[in-house]
This record gives sequence, C-alpha cells and structure tokens, in this order.
Amino acid sequence: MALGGLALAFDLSLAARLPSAQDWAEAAGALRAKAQAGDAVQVWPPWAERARLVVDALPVFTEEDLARADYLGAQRLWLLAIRSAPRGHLGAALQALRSRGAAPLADELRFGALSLQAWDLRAPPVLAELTAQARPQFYEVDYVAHRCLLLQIGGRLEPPAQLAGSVLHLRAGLVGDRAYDLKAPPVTLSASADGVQLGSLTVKPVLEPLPAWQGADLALPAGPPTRRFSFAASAPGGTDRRFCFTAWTTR
Amino acid sequence: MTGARPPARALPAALALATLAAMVATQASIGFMRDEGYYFTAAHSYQEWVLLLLRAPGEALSAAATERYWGYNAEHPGLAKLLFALSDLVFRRALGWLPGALACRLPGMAFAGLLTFWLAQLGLARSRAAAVLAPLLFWCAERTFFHGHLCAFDVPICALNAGVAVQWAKAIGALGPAPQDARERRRRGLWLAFVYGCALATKHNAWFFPPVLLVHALLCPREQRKLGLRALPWLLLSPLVLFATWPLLWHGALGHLRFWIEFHLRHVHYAWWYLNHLLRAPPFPVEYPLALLALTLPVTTVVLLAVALGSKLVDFARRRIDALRLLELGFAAAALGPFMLTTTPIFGGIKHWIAGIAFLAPEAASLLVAAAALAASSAQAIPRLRWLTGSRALALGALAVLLPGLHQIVHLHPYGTSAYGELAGNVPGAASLGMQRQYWSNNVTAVLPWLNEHVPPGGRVFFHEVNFESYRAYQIAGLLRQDIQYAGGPRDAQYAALQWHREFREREPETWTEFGTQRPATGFYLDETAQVVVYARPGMPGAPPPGPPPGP
Repeated sequence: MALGGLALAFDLSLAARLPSAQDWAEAAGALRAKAQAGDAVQVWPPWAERARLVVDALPVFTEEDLARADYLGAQRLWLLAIRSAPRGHLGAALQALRSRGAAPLADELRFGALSLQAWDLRAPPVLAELTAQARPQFYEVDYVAHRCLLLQIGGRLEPPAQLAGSVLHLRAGLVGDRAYDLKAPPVTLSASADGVQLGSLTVKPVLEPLPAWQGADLALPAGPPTRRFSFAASAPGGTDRRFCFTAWTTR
Repeated sequence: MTGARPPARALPAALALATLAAMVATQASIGFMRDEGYYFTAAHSYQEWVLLLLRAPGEALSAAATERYWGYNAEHPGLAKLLFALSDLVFRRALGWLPGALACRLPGMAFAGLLTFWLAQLGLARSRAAAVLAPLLFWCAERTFFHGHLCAFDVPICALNAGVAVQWAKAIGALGPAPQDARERRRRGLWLAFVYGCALATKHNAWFFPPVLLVHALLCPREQRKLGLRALPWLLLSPLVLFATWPLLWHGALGHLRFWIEFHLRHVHYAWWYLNHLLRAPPFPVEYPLALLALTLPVTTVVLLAVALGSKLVDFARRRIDALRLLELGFAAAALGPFMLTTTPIFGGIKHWIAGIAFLAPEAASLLVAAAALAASSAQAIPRLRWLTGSRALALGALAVLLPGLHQIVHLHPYGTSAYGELAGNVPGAASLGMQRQYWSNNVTAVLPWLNEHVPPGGRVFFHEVNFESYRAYQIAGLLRQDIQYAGGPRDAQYAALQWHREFREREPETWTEFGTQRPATGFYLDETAQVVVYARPGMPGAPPPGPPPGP
C-alpha cells in the first residue's frame, strides 16, 4: 500500500517538476532581453527540445555531452534546464561544463520549473569558419545533428583564403549508420595551408557508444595571417559513404 | 485451487463486456499505427473477396482470386484479418453503424474482452476477488490498455493463448472437474482443438503452444498427465481452422506455408533504443523483455508480478505447484523466454510478450487478496485498526496497486507506445535513460488539427513514419483534410511532421537543410519530451518568423 502511495505521489508530482507554458515563455523572454552576439543556449536534459519552439533569440543546442561539445562560435552559453526532471542529473551537466573550463557568470534565474544560468565557455575566439556555407547544411552523425559540409571521399575542398590564427580545428564523421560499419576502412581528412601539410584526422568507424563524431586540433606553424587552406578526404574503400566535416581556426 | 466446481461464466462474461465497452469508449483518439494501415488494407482486400464469394463462388475459389485478394500481407494467417474484414463489411458497409476504423478495430477489442473472460476464469479458480483483479492488473497500464484497442494481432493472440490455457486446464481437470467419460473428453478436446486452431490462424506465437502443453502434461500428476496425453492429439485438428480461414492456402498451400514460416524465422531486426544504446542486431541483452516490462508498467504492477513469478518459481522448485499454476508458469515462460535468447527480434515495445503479464496476473491477483486478508486479520489484534476488515483491506490494497496504472492511462492515453512507469521515471525519466521514445507513428494525431488549420489547399506534408496506408486512413476517418498531399521526404514537402526516433534522427537535420530553419512551427511534447515536431518552410502559413542563427 505504501508503494502504491509513493508511486501515485511521484506520478502526481510530475506536473510540478515540469515547466508550464508560462515558464517557457518567461525564460524565452529573459533570453530575448539578455541575448548578445556570441551567445547560445544549451538545454538540459537534452530531450527538452521544446526550447527550439520558444527560444527565438539565440541558437539552441541539444548536445548530450557538454564536456566535448564544440559550441562553435559561442562565447557565452545559457544553460536552460528543467531542474527537477526525472533522472535529469543536472549536477552532472554542470560538472561537465566545469570540466571543460567553463565558469558560471551569474547565479541562476528561476522560471518555475526552469532554471537559466549564463556560463563563460572561455573558448578561444573563432577567427574563421572554413566550412561555413551561405545556406547551412546539417547531417546526422552519432544520432546528433551537426552543421557540417559533405566532402566526397576522394574529393578536395579549397575555400578562399581565411584568417589562420594558431590552431586549426577539425571535426568530422561518417553520416548515418555507416559510422558504425566496422568492416569499412577509416577515412582520412588531410589539411594543408598554402601547400604545407598540417596534419590529418583519421575518422574510424566505431562501435557504440564510442563517439562517431571525431576531432583533431592542429597547431598552425608561424606564417602569414591569412592563408589558403585545403582539405582532402581519402579512404582505401567504402567511397560511397557520406563524410562530413567542419573546420575552423582560432587565435 | 483445482476444485471440482465448474468455472462460472457470469462474472467473467460481465467483466469481458465491461472491457469491450471500455475499449470502444476510449478508442477514437488513438491514431492509426503503422501496422494498422496494412491490416486496414488487408481487411478491405479480403472483404472484396467475401463479396465475390457471395456473388460468384466459383470465381472466388479460383487460384487467381485467392492470390489476388489474399496475397496482400501473406506473412500473417487469415483469421484475425478476416474478422476485421467481416466487421467492416457488416458494421460499416452493410449496416452503416460504425465508422471504418472502429469497425475494423472491433474484433481486436472483442478479443480484449475474451482475454478478460479467460483471465477471470483463471482468477476464479482462486477466488471471486482474484477473478476481478486478474484482468484489472493486466489492463491497468497504458501499454496493455492501448494494445487492447487495435486492429492488430497482439491482443488477439494473447487472448487465444489464455483461451488455449483455459481449454487445456479444463481438458485435464486442472480447472473445474476432470472429464468423467469419453464423450466429455471428446467435447473438451474439440474445444481445445478449435481454440488452438484459432490461435494458429491468428499469429505464429501459437507455434510455441503445443510444446508447452506437452511439457506441462509430462510434469503433471499421473491422472492429469494421462488426460493431457489423451488431449494433445486433438491439436492435430487445429490446422483445419488455419486452412479454413486462410483461403491463400487453398491453392499452393506448401509454398504459402513456407513463406509464412520463413518470413518469421528470418524476420528483420528493426533498430531499437534501449538504455542509450541503439540495438540493431543480435546479440540483444538477455534481460531485455524483463527490463522493458519493469520500465513500462506501473511499479506496483511490476512488484506484484515479480512476487507472483517468484512465488511460482519457488513452488515449482519445491514441487508444490499445482497443475493450473504450473500451466500459467509455463505459458509465461514461453511468452518471455524466446525474447531472452538474445537472437529473437526485440522490436515493438512489450507487445510481443504481453502474454507473460497475462499469465502472471491471476497469481498476482491471488497474492494481493491473500495479503489483504493477512493485513485485515493482523489489524484485528490492534484496537485502533479494527475498522480494517477483510473487504476494506482488499479495497485499499487494490486501489494502491491499480491507481498508478489508472493514472498512467488517464494521463497518457492514447499515446500508449510512449508510456513508461515509475521505475523509469515516467516518460521524461525514460527519455533521460535513453529508451525508445515511441513507435508506430500513431502519436501524429496530436498535430493533425494544426496541419488541418495551417496547410494551404493541396499542401504537401512529409509525415515521416506515418505510412501511406495510415495517411489515407486519417483522411477517410476525417482526421486529416482530403486535399493535404503525402510527400516522400522533406525535399518535396512544405511541412514536415517528424516523429522523434533515435534511429531516424537523420530526417531532422535533412529538414533543417531543406527548409532553411531549425525552428519548429509546432510540436507535440509529452511531459516535455519531444514526440512529434512539425516544421514549416519559411513563409508558409503557420511558419515561425525567421529564427536565430544556426545552432549545432
């Protein structure tokens, strides 16, 4: 009987633990008022995707691994969380942000069941997004949407000259189920600047839960501030797979 | 427990009618799930054959006609779909009493009533209270309640499994008095053969029943073993029902039987999300069916079923289990066991092993009754608890066990494929755990009113997991405007209604790329978890104003 009472109490308390329409509207209003260039929103838990519907001022991320997520171009991250979501583990999310060097900028704001807190990502500023497109393309890698550019395996991309900075960041993955096809060979993404080879990222098919969206950060040798980058994807087989990547430079 | 009283029929029949009424009253809001789309189509094809049979019997019996009309959905036998067809033919086309979807679903709901009837008979072998509680324990959960409404095979085969158990128990004297003479044995044998034949003609789960009955007979005491071994050969008549209700077998039977068997022996593995892993192929986790039951059912039901299973296993190990409880244990194991082999396809939520719940429910009901009696007798020794009489204790105990399930139904119906219980943390907790969010696409009903209101005349909508058959069924049922067109993908659509599936995530970024926006126009969020997200091309009616810069 006690178990029945507890179960029912848990069921009935759920409404109070989840945000109302008003909570969402107030949080969205606060973001509208406080939004700055270089801001982004991360929702927690990642399934709280209603945020995409209501937040109209900032890009919304639903990343699952807050320690590894790139938040490309974001300096300040607003963590919009359902505080008491069942099995939400907000503490783990906060710890993940801290583990990447991020720090809270202010106390959290409360909007009913929602909390909102600004975090300084302490990320180096992006100098150039080398794979930016006028009309962004998105692909699924690791069951998560990534803004990235398709590059045919065996193909090459040479964007116009861009600001170089000191680090070239590469992120890449095989689109869809083929990311887990262990029989297929890895794909190598090679990068060069002004004809000088910088290094490469080898994207291996993985077994879940290893991340299929993989990355490398390559130090740029001293040189002119603006350089002409070149990227090439190659593999000894499985060239019918879709491969997408993102590249950017930071100071 | 195996008393000599013949099993009463009035109480089970009343409960069965109440179940049917409850299903009819709550079915309208349930969307047409993927498989229903195929079975509606099959029902329409088969009823055309029935009409041809009435009009031109010779032509209907020809190989060309049986192939033409019955060749659709040949991977499942005929009985259930024939009943869907006849119900639609009679109640919609001939009498005009029921809309098409309800007419097709009515046989499925009748099987839900039959399941209640047989569960109550199994419960009645213990007590009248157990007879009432056994079906209530089964149905008081949104997952099972949802399945009780559908034009599908899962509840029908579960019901017929219970029916086979009851007929077998009667044939060997494990339920009611043992047959006294050859005539009575023949009568019960024929009933057993008929009900098993119906099961065989409904779904391939029935292939597993005879081995269970044989093992049961061998494990029974001598007299019941003799009766069982005499009853088993009656099952040889059962394929007649399969043959009679599946005209496809009337020509080229061997080829069709081979296709049926091979289809299920080599069934494709659909990807399924479980504890943050996408299960694509064997080996699957051995605990999968048990874990899914624990996470989807109300916790009170889970605990009671677990105690019932434990009680039976302990009594089995101690050789203190009677024939009826042993039979229930055998069928519960046969329902769950194949899915613990790690190689059997595990898609479809709990629907493929709901018979496991059914066969534990009578024991669980009986344990609840016993616990209430014990509590009441203990309370009599405490002056301030003397108000707790036996009936009051039972009522309170039943409420405590059933209310979480009732709340689950009230709160989540008709979104049964999304339901999770307290052990998962309900629907949001299950999303955090990384459990399959939904399946079958029926949750799309939540956004159909929005689409009807906003899509311009002739507008094209990508319905994602909603198949063309279900899309047409929505139009025929008046739930979706007739002029709204079915798009093959985001590229040729103006709107996209995406069902949230871990395994189909690629459709959302594809839609963002095609539509040039990441901002939904509307959505259906069940306890805040995204179920169906609707996107509109910028500028289309209902589309949100231009959104923020791209995110991921």
